Amino acid sequence: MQADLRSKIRRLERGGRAAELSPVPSGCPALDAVLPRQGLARGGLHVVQGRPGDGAVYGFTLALTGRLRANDGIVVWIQCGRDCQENGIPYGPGLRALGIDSRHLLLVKARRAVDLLWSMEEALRCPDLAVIVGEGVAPNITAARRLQLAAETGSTTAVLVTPPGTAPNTTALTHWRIAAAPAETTALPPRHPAWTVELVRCRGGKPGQWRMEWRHETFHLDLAAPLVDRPVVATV
Amino acid sequence: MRVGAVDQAAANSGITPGMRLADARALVPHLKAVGMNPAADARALARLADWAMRYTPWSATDGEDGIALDITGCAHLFGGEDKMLHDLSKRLGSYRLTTRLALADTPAAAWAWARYGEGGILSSGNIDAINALPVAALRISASDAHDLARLGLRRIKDIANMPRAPLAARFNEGLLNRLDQIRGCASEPLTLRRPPAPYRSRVAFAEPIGHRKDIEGTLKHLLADLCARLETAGLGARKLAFTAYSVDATTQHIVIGTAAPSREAAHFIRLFQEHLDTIDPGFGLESFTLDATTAERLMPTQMLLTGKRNATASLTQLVDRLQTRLGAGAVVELKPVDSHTPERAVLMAPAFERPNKINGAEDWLAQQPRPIRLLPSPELIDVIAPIPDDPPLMFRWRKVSHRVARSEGPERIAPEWWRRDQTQRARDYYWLEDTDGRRFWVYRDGPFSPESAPRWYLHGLFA
Repeated sequence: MQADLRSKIRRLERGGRAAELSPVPSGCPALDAVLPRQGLARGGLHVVQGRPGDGAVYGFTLALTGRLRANDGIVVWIQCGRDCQENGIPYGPGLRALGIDSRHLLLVKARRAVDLLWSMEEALRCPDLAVIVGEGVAPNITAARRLQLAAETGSTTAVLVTPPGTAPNTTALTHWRIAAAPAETTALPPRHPAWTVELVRCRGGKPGQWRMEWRHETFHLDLAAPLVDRPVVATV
Repeated sequence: MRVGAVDQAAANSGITPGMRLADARALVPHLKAVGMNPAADARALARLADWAMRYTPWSATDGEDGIALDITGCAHLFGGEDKMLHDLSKRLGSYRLTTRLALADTPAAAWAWARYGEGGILSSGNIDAINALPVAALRISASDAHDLARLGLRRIKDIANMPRAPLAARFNEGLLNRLDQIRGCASEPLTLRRPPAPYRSRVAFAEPIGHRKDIEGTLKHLLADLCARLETAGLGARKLAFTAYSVDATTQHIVIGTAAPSREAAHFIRLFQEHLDTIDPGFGLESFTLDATTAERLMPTQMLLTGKRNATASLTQLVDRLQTRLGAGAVVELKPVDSHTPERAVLMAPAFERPNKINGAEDWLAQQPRPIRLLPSPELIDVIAPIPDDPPLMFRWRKVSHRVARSEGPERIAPEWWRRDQTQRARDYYWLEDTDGRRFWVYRDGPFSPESAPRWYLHGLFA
């Protein structure tokens, strides 16, 4: 009865536009617990913030994109041409470990920020795509609202990677802040990337901070194992 | 300094091309002389030949001072050959060009009639008029013409009925070839300015137009016409060229391309609208053509009952729109290549291109873990590392120091010895994690040697 009411309210909020997309579980129960409807919402805008040139930001965005894609659809990744040397370009052989097959990826290089936002909007309206990621631009309120509307119209999901210093956006469904986390043990280096994931703002959910690892065997995020009180072992 | 070309008044006063300028000035003291610019003349002639394509798509420049047009099948659009010739001469006259026009069955006959005959229309099959021309009208070399004159053969009719073998023996094949060409027995293809497109729509206005709204309306009309014809033929266009002919004999083009053949006018008009502002109306645009320069087979797509179309159609249209605005090559796919060198292991192929089977591989070659980001050009870093082979303890990148907490490696990637342009040395790649938890992919360029410390570079970022 309550769920019925909630879905009615959501439909009214959308203005009866497009069909609603079901949320996708992030694979980490602790994270799902704080997200509204126990999963990552699709059909809207997510913002990921982090230091440019920090691999953790792109790693988390790839993981998030992989989950949001839900095994169906094409991912479009839009970058500004100027930032390619600064931040690097997505490298095909490495994407597989983060859950993205390069056969489902299209890379777009835009010249200016306004072209990047235009491309994102055009791509979001295309119903055949799953997730559109735009990198390196910090949009203002109007631009974010347009992206959200375009995502709802086309039933696609938008992810924006913004540099630090951006104020949390009120229009976005979720706003994340990512940093790299040092490994816990000093034993043989595990291949699982570890990140400090902070959910700064979430529409309908609770903010929180976790230290997470990405398991490439099963393609899901996991809370890092809790610290154990142990003497430090010297590096090999 | 010699005289290169003269106008009618100068020719009447006795000045001929080839005369010395001083002699010419002596004849006519108030002579006006302008320096010759052959390159600019050639360009102007090319532009005029392009303009002449408003009459026919088969237009070519002919030598340094002529234009050849093949108007087969086009004359009726201008009300007949007479009216077409009259219109052409009137327009060229309005551009202040002195011209001699001739229309005949073959290019050779038209050339001869224009330069050595009376000009105008040479009726079909009129052998006598051709035969009355001098032999120079055959476009033979001066020495051949001189030899023929010595033999008393001055007009074409003198050699027209002679047996061919002695002519071929005395003069080379060229003379007989030219005779055949002027009579239409041998073919003479023109080198066209632009090959004609398989599908073309054209519209001309009695009054020149200039408003952007009108140009857009014309384009929509031409697109509708062209797409209808493509549909009956079962073809889709991959490349469209929109040409605007201006009243001052200039042309402007917009060319758009699509990744997949299409015949949707709405899609094309959106692609054209990106570039319509580049058309400058100038003094007015009097006619427009729309060519489908590349057309491919396209099966009809049925609309589903729900009104939804084929899924991939909208994706290729999106790619077309992105590429039209951001430039060709802005949308790429990552394709694996059979190469161990990291920067060559990925091919950024334009989206939806035909697969290139030469270097392509099925899957990524690298077995070891690879970074998620690669820097387009590796950046030099300062490194403190135990020699000779140990991973770095500390490094400095973009003016920030990083202390290494953990590392893995080396992975040696040897240069591809079969490539001839190889200046690369073997690289030892290391996976490094610093004390903050950030992970990098660095390499040492070449093995360590005591004489020259090798350089270290940062090539990629791990998640």
